[in-house]
Amino acid sequence: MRKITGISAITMRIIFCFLMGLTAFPGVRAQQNKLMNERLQEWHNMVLNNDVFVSVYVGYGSYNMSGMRKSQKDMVALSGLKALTNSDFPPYWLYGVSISQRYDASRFGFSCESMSTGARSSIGDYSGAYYSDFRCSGLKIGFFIEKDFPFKIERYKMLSFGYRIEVGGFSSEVNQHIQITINGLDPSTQIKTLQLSTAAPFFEPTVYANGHIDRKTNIQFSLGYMLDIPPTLPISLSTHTYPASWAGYRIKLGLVRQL
Amino acid sequence: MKLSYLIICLLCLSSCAFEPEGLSFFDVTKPAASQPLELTLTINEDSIYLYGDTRLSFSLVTFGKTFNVARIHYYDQAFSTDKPNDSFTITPKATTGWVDLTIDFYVSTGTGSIADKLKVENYVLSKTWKIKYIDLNKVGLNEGYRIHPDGYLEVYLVQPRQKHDGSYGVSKYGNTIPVTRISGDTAFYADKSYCSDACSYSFWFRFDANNIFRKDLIVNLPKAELKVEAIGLDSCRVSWTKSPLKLYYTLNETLYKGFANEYKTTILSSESKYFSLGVFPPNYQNQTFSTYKVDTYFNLGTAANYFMCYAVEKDKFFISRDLGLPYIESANIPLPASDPNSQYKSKVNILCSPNGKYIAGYLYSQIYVYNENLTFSKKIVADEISNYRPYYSITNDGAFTYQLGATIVMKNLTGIGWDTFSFISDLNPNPNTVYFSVIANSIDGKYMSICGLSEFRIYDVSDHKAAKVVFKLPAADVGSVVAHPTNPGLIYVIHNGKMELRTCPGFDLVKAINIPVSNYYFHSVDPFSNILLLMTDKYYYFIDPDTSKELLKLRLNSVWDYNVKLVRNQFETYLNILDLTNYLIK
Repeated sequence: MRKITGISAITMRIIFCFLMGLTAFPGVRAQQNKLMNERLQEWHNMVLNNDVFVSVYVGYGSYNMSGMRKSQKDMVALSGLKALTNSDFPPYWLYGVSISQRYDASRFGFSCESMSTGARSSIGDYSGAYYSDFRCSGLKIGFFIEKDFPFKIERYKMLSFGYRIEVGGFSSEVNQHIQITINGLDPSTQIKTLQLSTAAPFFEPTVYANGHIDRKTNIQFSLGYMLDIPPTLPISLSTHTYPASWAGYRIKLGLVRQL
Repeated sequence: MKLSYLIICLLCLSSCAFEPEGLSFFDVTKPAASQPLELTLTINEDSIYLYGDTRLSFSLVTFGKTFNVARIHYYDQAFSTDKPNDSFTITPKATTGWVDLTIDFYVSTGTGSIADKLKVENYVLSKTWKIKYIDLNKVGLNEGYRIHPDGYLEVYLVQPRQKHDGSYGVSKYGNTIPVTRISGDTAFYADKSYCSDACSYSFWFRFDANNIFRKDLIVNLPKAELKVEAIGLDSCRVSWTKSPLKLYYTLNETLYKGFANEYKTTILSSESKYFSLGVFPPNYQNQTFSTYKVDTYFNLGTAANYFMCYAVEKDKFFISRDLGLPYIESANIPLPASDPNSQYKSKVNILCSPNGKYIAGYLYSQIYVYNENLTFSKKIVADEISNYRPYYSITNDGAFTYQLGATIVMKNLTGIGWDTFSFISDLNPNPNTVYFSVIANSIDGKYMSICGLSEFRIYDVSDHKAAKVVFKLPAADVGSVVAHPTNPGLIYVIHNGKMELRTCPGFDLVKAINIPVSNYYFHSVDPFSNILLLMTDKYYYFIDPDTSKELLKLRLNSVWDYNVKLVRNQFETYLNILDLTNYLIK
């Protein structure tokens, strides 16, 4: 499948989430209803026992995107125009939420994170303008386990440190948009848009520091690095496929609320 | 409530996705308003004729600018080429009208702008030609002929317009004619052997291996027509229609040779002259025999191979044109011509009395008698008399007189009284003797003058029973005798070598007539004008007896051709009649 529409992308995300949920319930096939009821009851108890944490965070991530970067160069070269790079898949904001449960000294949970980056090469003069844009967005859903390190700084006892190991999958959506505008030419704007989606697994180790604001609320700062097995995308105007790798550093700041 | 707050936060965050922005703008100099471009097409015409698949080449000089594309449109076809020097082939459609052939040339402005690099900013040269299909099977291949100033025939082929790369030729009955010269788009072929008549020239024109067109040209110049006109009474002008070609002519092989269209030659009064015109083509020097000949016979006056007689008192002619039947008709001047299909003289000789009352024709031993109204009356048996015999006459009293050796026979045509009468004279009885003005009846039939072997005698035959000699002289004294054609009491005689008019039968001298000719023979007297017809061995002389003036002289066709007749200025020979009215003016 070379091109996936927007509706299909959403469908894929739902399926992805559903499958991730199923991973939390191994052996679901044999005693599906009974087991599901038991687990829901456990979750209810956990919440009642204040063992469930919800986190909302914002971060800043760098994204490898070497394949997309090469694709952009190839596109510009193909056009024959000496377009200059305005943006080249720069680090950009990311957002996410997570939910976890305490279990002994560790917390297990799921996170959902949105990432985005992109690129633009352009050139313009009196006769018109040329734009070659990439808009890449990623939705990452992972299962993580985190655990505090068994030490504290004496002077800052409200701080705690720990690490997190997160694995999961992410979906990528790449919008390639080429626009040529020639003044006086009818049609004045020529647009070529290509939207591609794909999914791949990732692994992200993170270290974090928690600062306790009150008894149930923490502010968490984390630093991690995401590794992935990048999927390849068939970018138009080329017979090649290009990998869309979201690998890179992640700096995140979030609020963690104990329910 | 907490969950809703969480969802709202997520939606707000997710809307802050990366959005590329910025534009790298360059200040590029705009192109000039125009750019010189020079276009050359294979056919340097605004209108192009197509005769089949036609390959056209164009060349565009851009003067340093980069050529982008040329878009070519014609009929319902459109295509492009990225070469400034290129060619294409038009397969014409069988349309009769003009169609546009348009080529739009796009040349880069060279500014380096985006539009320039994308080849959408161009200097545009749009050129339109008119193209038209010509079906050479119907039109467009023109041929013709002309006469070269040197006088020979040139056929030519005008090559189709703008189609000068074809091959062509012409043949005449399968023989190829080499091209003589080429002038512009026209090829000329000289045919120096052509003279006249229909001749077919087959042209062919081929402009590629698959298309050959043929046309035939018929050249049909008329043959020469021969015409002969009399010039006076002794010569004629032979002319022939002038051909637009410069042809070489021969007349009677050697009589004339040259390029003119007429020739003057002599002709005798009673001569039927044959003219044969040989026509040679302009290259006659290489040709032994003429291409064709036209010939004709010509004689002066009116062709008349019939017998005729003249009744002076009625001033009327009688003629017999029928070959075998005794059919007589009346005629006036001008006397009619013979039937052109009748080459032989009629056999029935006719004669009439001077008063016109008695008309008869004789054939062999038969005398056919006619009334005044020319109806046949009766047939009388006579001796076998030949037209060769010189003497026969009908007198005003209806006596048909002829000579049979020495015997003079008279037959009565009136049917009243006597039937026949004859007597023996002292003429030479030898039937081969040709008598010449030695017998003369007075026109009233009463007297007969005969120059015999021994004597000149005047007989009184008025009773038609016996011939009584009423006057005689020694034969040596009188050479010829001719009765006066209108006065029964006069005779012309050559007495002692001189022409005299004397009374009959008294032989009294009326007057002597000075004849300005020597060694002549007395032939006859015109009853209308009294002009004397004399002859020598070479000429006929026409003498006015009153003035002794020689009015006319005509050369004989043969020696002693006495078989002529002069009546009412009409001079009849064995083949023609000359109207001498304008010549015999006293």
